[in-house]
Amino acid sequence: MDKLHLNQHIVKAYNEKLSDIKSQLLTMGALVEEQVQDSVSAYFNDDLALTDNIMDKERRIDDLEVFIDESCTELIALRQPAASDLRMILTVSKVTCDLERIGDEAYKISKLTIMTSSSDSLGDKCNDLRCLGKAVLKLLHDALVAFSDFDDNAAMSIIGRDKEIDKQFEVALNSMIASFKDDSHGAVDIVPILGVLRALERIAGHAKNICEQIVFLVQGRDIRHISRRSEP
Amino acid sequence: MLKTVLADKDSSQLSSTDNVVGMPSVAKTQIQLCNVNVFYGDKQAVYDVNLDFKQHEIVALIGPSGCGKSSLLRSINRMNDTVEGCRVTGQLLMNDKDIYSKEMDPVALRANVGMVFQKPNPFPKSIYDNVAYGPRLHGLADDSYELDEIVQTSLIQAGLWDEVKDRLLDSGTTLSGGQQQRLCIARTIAVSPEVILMDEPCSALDPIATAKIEELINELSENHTIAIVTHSMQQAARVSNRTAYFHLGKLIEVNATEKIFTNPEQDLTEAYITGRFG
Repeated sequence: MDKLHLNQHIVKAYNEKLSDIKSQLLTMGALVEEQVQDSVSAYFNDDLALTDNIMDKERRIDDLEVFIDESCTELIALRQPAASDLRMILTVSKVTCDLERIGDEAYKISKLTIMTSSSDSLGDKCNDLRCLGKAVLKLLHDALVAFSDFDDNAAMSIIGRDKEIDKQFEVALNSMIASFKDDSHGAVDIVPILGVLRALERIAGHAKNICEQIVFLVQGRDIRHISRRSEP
Repeated sequence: MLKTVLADKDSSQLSSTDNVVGMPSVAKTQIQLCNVNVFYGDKQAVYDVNLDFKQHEIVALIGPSGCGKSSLLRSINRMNDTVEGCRVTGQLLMNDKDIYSKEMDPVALRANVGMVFQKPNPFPKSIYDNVAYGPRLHGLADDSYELDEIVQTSLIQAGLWDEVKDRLLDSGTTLSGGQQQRLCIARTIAVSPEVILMDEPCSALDPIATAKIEELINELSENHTIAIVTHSMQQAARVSNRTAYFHLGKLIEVNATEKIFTNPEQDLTEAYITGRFG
């Protein structure tokens, strides 16, 4: 879908360059999504094999970030983009950064997986965490689809869902703390769990950032920090 | 809650066409164009344009070739009077006075609304006489000392003094293209116009000369209102406070330059400035 008419420039080389950076960003997004899925799955299913390729993917994600940023710089220097083209390039540059951060959080989860004991031994204590994990994965997937389609309506809807994720984070956090309060032997296990909780919450935050950039790209409106601005 | 917050943000945005975003709200309107049409015989070049120019602002007029921007520009200082068959309708006011009224002297108007053209056109006279021509014609200097002062001040303001102060008697045509254009600007400002119209002033110049003219435009705007027609969107983006986009003789959109080039309101404007059509 080319809602922004990116492929309708008179100069075809410009069309190709813009399509290229979008395509590279989606490739990076797919890699990051895979990274998050693998790391979350590894943690809850105690599947260390899934963590084997995390480092390699992490390097590929970092390389893509550098490559995409270089492409954006080149486009700005050589094409002097304006309006939607300029917003596209700025958006790609910012989303690249958020994706790289998501990749880092996924990497942290996989490191915690290797350190921590089997989640089965934690039993019901992890149910809220599992729910949060699923919700965050869905949020990230939907954010990437919204970017692919330049769907600002979907992006706004996803931004609203981030508040639900924050609530789920609080519930899971309180649940963890309560369940380990009286269990001094398991207290040491809570630290990595809190690490995973925090990483999932950050992934959701970055997915929300991506959606804010989609709104900026399509509508030209900067809606970051709006809820904070409305606070007294 | 998210929608309410977003609605509040929308209502705080300034509207596009009437307000001069980025300019002080107390800026006086220097030129008012109301329902202006320009005809060349039966052919209409400009359709029903409404556009204000605030004092000391720089407005860029952009659009594809043949869209009427130069025709509109020339109607402001009545240069179109010299074109056979050209007819201007509507109301054009400068300082609330009708530019096309019978009482308006076109010669005096053109002293007050100066023009710089695409191709530098120094007179075949000395550098000094090029600049002194206007003040002499309009009796702006009581004696030769005063005339010398006007010439020097104008050349300084045009950024040319240091380069020509030792050869004021040389012909203006011996200067480089960029210098000639600055000489033409000095000639224009020597008669202290309130408004300067520029019709693609840099299209015949190299990048360095262009940069010098753009810097000069910025300096001149402290004391003059400037309207500049340009084919270079990047130039419009660099020099102007507001940009007006024209298409097939109609004014499509006018807004703060940063708004036009980051998030224009009209699809036609977006298509032009992003190179989706020429």
